[in-house]
Parts: sequence; structure tokens; C-alpha cells
Amino acid sequence: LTSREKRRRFEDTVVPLSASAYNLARWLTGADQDAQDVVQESFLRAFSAFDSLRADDPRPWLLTIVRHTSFTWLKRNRPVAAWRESEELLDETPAPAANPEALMLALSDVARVRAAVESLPPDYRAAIVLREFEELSYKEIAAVTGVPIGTVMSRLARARECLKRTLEGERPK
Amino acid sequence: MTCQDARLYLDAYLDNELDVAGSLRLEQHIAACPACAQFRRESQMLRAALRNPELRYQPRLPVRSYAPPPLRGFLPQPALALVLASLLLAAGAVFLTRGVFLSRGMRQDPLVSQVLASHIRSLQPGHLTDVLSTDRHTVKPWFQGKLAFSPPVPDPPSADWTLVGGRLDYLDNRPVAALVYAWRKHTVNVFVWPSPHESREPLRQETEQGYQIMHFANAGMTWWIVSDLNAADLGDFARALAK
Repeated sequence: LTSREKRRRFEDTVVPLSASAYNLARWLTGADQDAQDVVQESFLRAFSAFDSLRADDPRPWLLTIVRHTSFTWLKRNRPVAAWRESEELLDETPAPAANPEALMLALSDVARVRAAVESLPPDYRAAIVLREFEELSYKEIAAVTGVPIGTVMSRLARARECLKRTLEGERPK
Repeated sequence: MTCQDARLYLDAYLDNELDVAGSLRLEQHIAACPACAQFRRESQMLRAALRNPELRYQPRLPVRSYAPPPLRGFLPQPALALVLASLLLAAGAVFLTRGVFLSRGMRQDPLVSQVLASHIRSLQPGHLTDVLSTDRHTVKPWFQGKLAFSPPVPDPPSADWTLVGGRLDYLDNRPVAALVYAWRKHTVNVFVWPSPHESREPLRQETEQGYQIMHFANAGMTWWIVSDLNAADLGDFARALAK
């Protein structure tokens, strides 16, 4: 592969995934400029590792790099936020909402749904973003986040339970 | 199948990640269990709400601007040169509009040095408090009539912490409330005033001349916390305040 050819193939296969990369980085870093920095750094890393890309679908491969770069960035620049990385959500038995009307009302408010997702610990937030926005399979999410499929399943179940409870419990402003 | 199992597997079921046998047993359980049926409806509603495309963040810059810089030693071609030139122009525009000084970190924030200066000044003899009390119901009313807002005076988060008192200070071109807490011998200044706009800012921290400086905004208030206490304990304190 000549370098010009490599660059062209990179631009054809990976660069079009910028929107996915940006979305994940934006959710994890919490700010536009920071997400841009992370995406740019991720693309540099992706480019130098491009020869190692074997999969047919480059998206999980790129998102793995973006997630890793985001966490490295968080640890360096937002150590307080990164402390929450290993935080576990409460392990309670999921239950139907005590107040279904409140939940339904909250779900119709995009700003509140967004705030609820933002309040999740980063790895749970990543799982939700990868599943709901990027529509990755559990297997792909497991590969991107570097944990077993069972962990992906329980993280998603807990994250969703936590979202429901947060939304149900909040009073509208 | 128990309700607990049903609710654990429901997400995988809705995500089409559950095997056929498991799916069948789950469906049988839900058909017979009204509580789990309601749980499923709520999960489906949550799912629909999360699939709202408005929740996705769209990059503001064009996709091209994320492409890596050209390889070392490549021969410039007219097309590539054009791409390069536009990249440079875009970078220049970003540089100009954002400015070098307006920045992302806190380091360039002029408030950091103001907060630190105020903290150090408060440690001079006799400067720390205007009202000396460990009782928040004494400290909070003291600010009445002295500030145009009523500052929140949080309880110390744990037994290691004590409220020492409060004083008026002047930061960001306005009078602000300074709350003084202590962790053993460490003095912590907490500055609080209403945010100019309804914004939430996550907790950030910065080390300046050996002092820890933390900042966040929520519920309409801007908070700055400064001390010589270590980052971990001060971070716990800041997170307790941010709750």
C-alpha cells in the first residue's frame, strides 16, 4: 500500500464516520471543543493504526479508538469526572415506575432525557450511546469497551433502570 | 422465570440479543404478569425517547476538518493542495474566532488567579471571616441585606468537615459570598454567586502554586472552591456540594 493509496482509502472508509466519532466523544467529554480535540487525536491514532484494520465494518474499530482517547483525555483533563469511571450504579431489582405519568412526561422532554444520560457514569453513558445512537450489537459494544458481553448486558440494564428512576423522580422546572 | 430474571433479561430481549428459548420464556412470563408487562411498556417508551435523533450531537465543523494531516514526504497534487489550503484556512478561522486566550481549560481563566489571590488574602490574620459561626442558620441570614442574592450554605458533608463562617468578597466584578470551611487545619474557601445564565458546568479542577482550585456551576449558581487540601479530599467535598 503506497502512502497516497493508504490516505485515500482512509478518507473513503474512516473519515465518513466522523459524525459517529464526534457524537461519542461529545457525550463522553461533555463539551464541543473537547470533543473536537478528541476526534482529531483519534483520527491521528486511527490513521497510524490503519494497517491493522481487518474488520469489514470500520465503525466499531474507530469507536474503540475514540472511546479510549476520550477516557485518556478525561483522566488527564477532568480527573474528577474520570474518578467516576469505576463507579457502579446501585444494584437494585428493576421495578415498574411508581409514578408512570411522571415518567412519561419526563420522557417527552428532550432536555431532561439528555440531562439524565449525562448524569450516568462514563462507561454506562458510553454503553447507552453505542447501543441507542450507534445501534451497535452487544458483541460490538463488548469489543469497543473491552468488557465481556455479560457486563454489557448488565450495564445497559442498570443504565436504563437508572435513567427511568432519574426521570421519574425529577420534578419539571 | 421470576420477575427479577424477566426484568434483567428484558433489555436484551428488546435489543434482539436474547436467544429463542429465553425469549419464549420471557414472553410467557410477561403475558401472565401485569407488573412485568408495565415494566416492558416503560422500557419501550424509554427506548423510543432515547432514539430521538435530537439527542445525537452533530459536529459543527465539516467532516473534512477531522482528516489527519498529510503524510510526510507525499508529493503535493493540485487537489490535495487545495484540501490542504482549505484546512489551513479553516484552522486559521477557528484560531481567530476562538482566540488564543479564550480557552478551554481553566488555566487561562482570569478568575483562577482572582480566586487564589482572594484565598491567600483571607488567610492573613483577621481576614478570614466577617461572621464566625459553625451554624449555617447563623451564617446564611448574615448575608441578608449585604448581597443581592441569598447564597446557599451547605452543611459540612461529613464529620471531618466544619463550617467556620462566612464573609463578603469581591470576584468577577461583583460582590460574592465567601463561605469558609475547615478540614482539620486546612482552610477551604468556597465562593458562590449566581451564574449569569442558567448553565450547568461539570466539576473542573486545577492546581495553581500548590493550591487546588475547583469550579462547577449548577442550579443557577457558580461555585469556586480553593484550598491547600489534597485533590482527593477536596474533590469529595466539591462533589458533595455539587449534589
